[in-house]
Amino acid sequence: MLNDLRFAVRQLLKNPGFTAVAVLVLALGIAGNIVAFSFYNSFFLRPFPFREADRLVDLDETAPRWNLEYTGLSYLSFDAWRRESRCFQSMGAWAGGAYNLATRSSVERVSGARVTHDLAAVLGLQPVLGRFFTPEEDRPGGAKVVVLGQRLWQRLFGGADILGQSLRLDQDVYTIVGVLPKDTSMLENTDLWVPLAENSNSQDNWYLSGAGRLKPGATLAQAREELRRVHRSLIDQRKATENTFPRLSPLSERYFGPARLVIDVFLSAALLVLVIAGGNVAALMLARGLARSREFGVRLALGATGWSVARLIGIEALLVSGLGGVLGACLGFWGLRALLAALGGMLPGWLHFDFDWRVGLFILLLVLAVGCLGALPTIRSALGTIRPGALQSSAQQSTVSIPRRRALNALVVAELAITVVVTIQAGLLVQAFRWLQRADPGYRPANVLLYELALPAGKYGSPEARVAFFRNHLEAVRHLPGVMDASAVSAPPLGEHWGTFFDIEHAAPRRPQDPDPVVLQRIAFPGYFETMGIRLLKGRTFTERDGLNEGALAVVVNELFVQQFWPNQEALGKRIRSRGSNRPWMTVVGVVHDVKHYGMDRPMIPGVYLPYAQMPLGQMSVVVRAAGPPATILPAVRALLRQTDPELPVFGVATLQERLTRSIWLRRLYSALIGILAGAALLMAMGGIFGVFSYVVGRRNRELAIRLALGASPKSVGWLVLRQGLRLVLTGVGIGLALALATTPLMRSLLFGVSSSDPLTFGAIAVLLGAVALLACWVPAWRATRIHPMEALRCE
Amino acid sequence: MIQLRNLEKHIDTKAGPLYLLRQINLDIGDGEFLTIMGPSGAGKSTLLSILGLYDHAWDGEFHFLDQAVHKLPVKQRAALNKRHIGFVFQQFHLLDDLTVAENLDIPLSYRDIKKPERQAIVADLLDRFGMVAKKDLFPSQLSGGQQQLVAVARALVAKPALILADEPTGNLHTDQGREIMELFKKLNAQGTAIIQVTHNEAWAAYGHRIIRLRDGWMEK
Repeated sequence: MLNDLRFAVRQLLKNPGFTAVAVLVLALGIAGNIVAFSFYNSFFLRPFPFREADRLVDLDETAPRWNLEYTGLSYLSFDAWRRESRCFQSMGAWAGGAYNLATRSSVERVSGARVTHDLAAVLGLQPVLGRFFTPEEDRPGGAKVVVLGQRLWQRLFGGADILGQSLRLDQDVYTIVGVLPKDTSMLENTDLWVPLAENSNSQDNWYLSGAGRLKPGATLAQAREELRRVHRSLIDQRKATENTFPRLSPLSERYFGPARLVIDVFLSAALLVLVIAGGNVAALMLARGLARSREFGVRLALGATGWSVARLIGIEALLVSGLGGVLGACLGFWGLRALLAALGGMLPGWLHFDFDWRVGLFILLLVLAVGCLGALPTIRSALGTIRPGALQSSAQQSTVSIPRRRALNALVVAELAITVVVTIQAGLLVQAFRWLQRADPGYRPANVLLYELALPAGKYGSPEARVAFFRNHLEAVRHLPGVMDASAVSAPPLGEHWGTFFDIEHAAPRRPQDPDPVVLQRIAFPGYFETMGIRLLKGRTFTERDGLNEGALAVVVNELFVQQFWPNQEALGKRIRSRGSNRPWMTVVGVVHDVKHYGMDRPMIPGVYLPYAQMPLGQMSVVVRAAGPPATILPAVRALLRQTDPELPVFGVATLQERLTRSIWLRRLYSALIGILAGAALLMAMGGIFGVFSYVVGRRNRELAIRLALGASPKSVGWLVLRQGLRLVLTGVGIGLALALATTPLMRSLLFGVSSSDPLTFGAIAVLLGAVALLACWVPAWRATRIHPMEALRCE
Repeated sequence: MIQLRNLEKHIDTKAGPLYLLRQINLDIGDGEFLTIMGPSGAGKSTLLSILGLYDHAWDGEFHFLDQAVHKLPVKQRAALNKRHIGFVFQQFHLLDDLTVAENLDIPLSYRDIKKPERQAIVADLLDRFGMVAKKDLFPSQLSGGQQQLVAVARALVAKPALILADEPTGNLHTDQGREIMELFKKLNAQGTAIIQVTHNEAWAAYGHRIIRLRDGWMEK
């Protein structure tokens, strides 16, 4: 064995070109797989880095009738589940938010969360200073207390003992009772926490996130069954709606479930590229094996067994794949770092991507698999064709032996087929991405600046004060130089979801089993549609008078709302009102074009816009359309606010174009990554085809020379070679197309605006790959036409 | 049939031109059986390659069947070769993946002859050479002598006026060699001109005339 190893090392050193190409090709393939697998490992295999993370469960509710997979958790459900569950050791819930934090010198916007008192126990958090909340503080009317995050504590107070000191949030005074450590697991990027203090009778408001810690030995299935029972009894007691149900998921599914298909596609594409790389190495080894036929024959003649020859070939292949694995691990590590840097803050900070034993095992399995794949055809061919007594024959054959030729042909066909599959996958993703880039978002994103303002309830307690503030602010902004128009909305496109239900006049009666889609509600100032460039389809947009007169409340609906509730009816003049309330009816005064509120690749739902005066919220997004680059407006806006209310921070600043670009950034990234893999597959496959063909034609030199000597024209010899290539190319492309047709439907949910069997993509890639593959065959064929028959035959 | 005047062939090396053939003047008549002899590296195979119209890089004058080959473009030289010349190699050079019959068919397939006609020619040739029973065998299933017999038959299949044989018996034992030479003699008697290269004096004697080459020069 040691001798074999020594011999294998010597063989590889003797052929540095072969060794370098084979190792590099494998390293690239393995590196791609390491990157893909590291994501898979961190998302789905490795336990999250929380205390006893395998016992943590995500708590939520689902409402199929409302077309919502996750509704958020209502406090009523949460409170009942927490009280009656026996499977859970503890349960906690929270609602994310933000506060205006007043310091001595200024006011800043900080992230905060309203949490139940038991959340620290669920997540296993121990305050570094003071304590977490008591049950008494977590009740309506409880003491106003706050727990700081370690970062905010260090930044504001330099880590001093501040227990019992006061903090002004949204102009309310809170007492600091504790400081949580930097690592706050799922609640990362939160600067401070206050008690949720929710009323246990709070109904129909699904705004909470929840997590539970299972008791040791309890399973997720048991917990699901138990909470289903508890929730059923809530419905039976008419405390909860019969439309929502508990939705319990492992954390990995909740956090990364939507990314699963992307990771699967990425990993499978990387594996396919590695198979091509392995195939190339197999082809190289097979070709080199022929040059060593005599050596293998001599070994067999001297008494070597088939096994010992196979072992020798196997050790060489494993050595090549092992070197590829080591280099691939280095490249993969570097590639992963680069990709994580590119992803920036898009991934949770607590997620680790270190190489662990799973990644190590994965690399080992890859190395072994590639080694075997590389060695098998050569072993099979060597043992199948070389016999001790046939030392001469192999040297005198005019062509490659039939088994070896078949093996090489199979490799070429397989490489091409796989390349077709990967390239079509990439092509479809790129098509989908291009479609999204060209798709109409429903508004004009160019030159629009967005920023948020949150009016503290203390200072702006009355609706009139809020209306007055925003009206004055918008009027002042409109007069700034370079501003074309300005308005405000509660949730701009790609912003928050505020779902609600309405009683709808003249809508078709709904049976109990019919879907009851949730409606997206937004509050908008007059001029919003004009500033955003949202097309008015019918009626009118809001005026300053809308909402001021209770007797004639107005509402603007979108196209989907009309299609859903008033198909083939005139929408203008019809009325809606919040379901189950005694609020007055609102009259539809306009119908506007749908906007892609949830993202360019997400479906829109029916939506309504209410005039601000009708529901004056404290927090609004201001939208400003500028004549030029919108960011230049911001300093003037800040100066304006310093004059009107210096305690109001401006936050959430971005241009609409930035938000739009960011919303499809992940899709751009994975489309590009799979595109890179497809490019690598294409290059490797072409390299493989060229190599195999050059080798096969090289082996046919004598035969081709004979044909030329017997009267064949160079053109006919070239065509003979090309025809052989054409047969393989057509077979490979055909099999690849069939495989792609069978597999691309699996990635349908990633394909927006393009069919999984898009004939244009399939056709273009088949033609492109066929042409490139033929080019790879053409060079050896052209060389064949240059053979000098007498010289070639004399060499023999 | 062939007239060579001051034919020369050289290759360029770093040290200057290296001559493989020098001032070859030779006349070969119709139906002649010529033997070329000489030590290794004398230029025998090079001369044969030029006579067979496979090599085009030479100087001098070469007339073949009243055509000035030195003035013909390469394409027309290839056409002349196709029409009038058959070649027999020392190492037979049969195509391993083709049967005996298919090997015989190959030269015809490059000469735009229709398949039924080709089949008839091959069948006739197999009969003439007594190889009907072996027509479906592959070269590896034949002895060396049988393989060379097929190679000679293949050289004849397009009815050439001239057969060039480069050491046709070099890989055969004496009895097989004699059999091939007798066959050449018979073919020559039937009117086919033959030019052979050999080291063997006995086989050389089958020719009407022997020319000897040394270092590219033709000995007087």
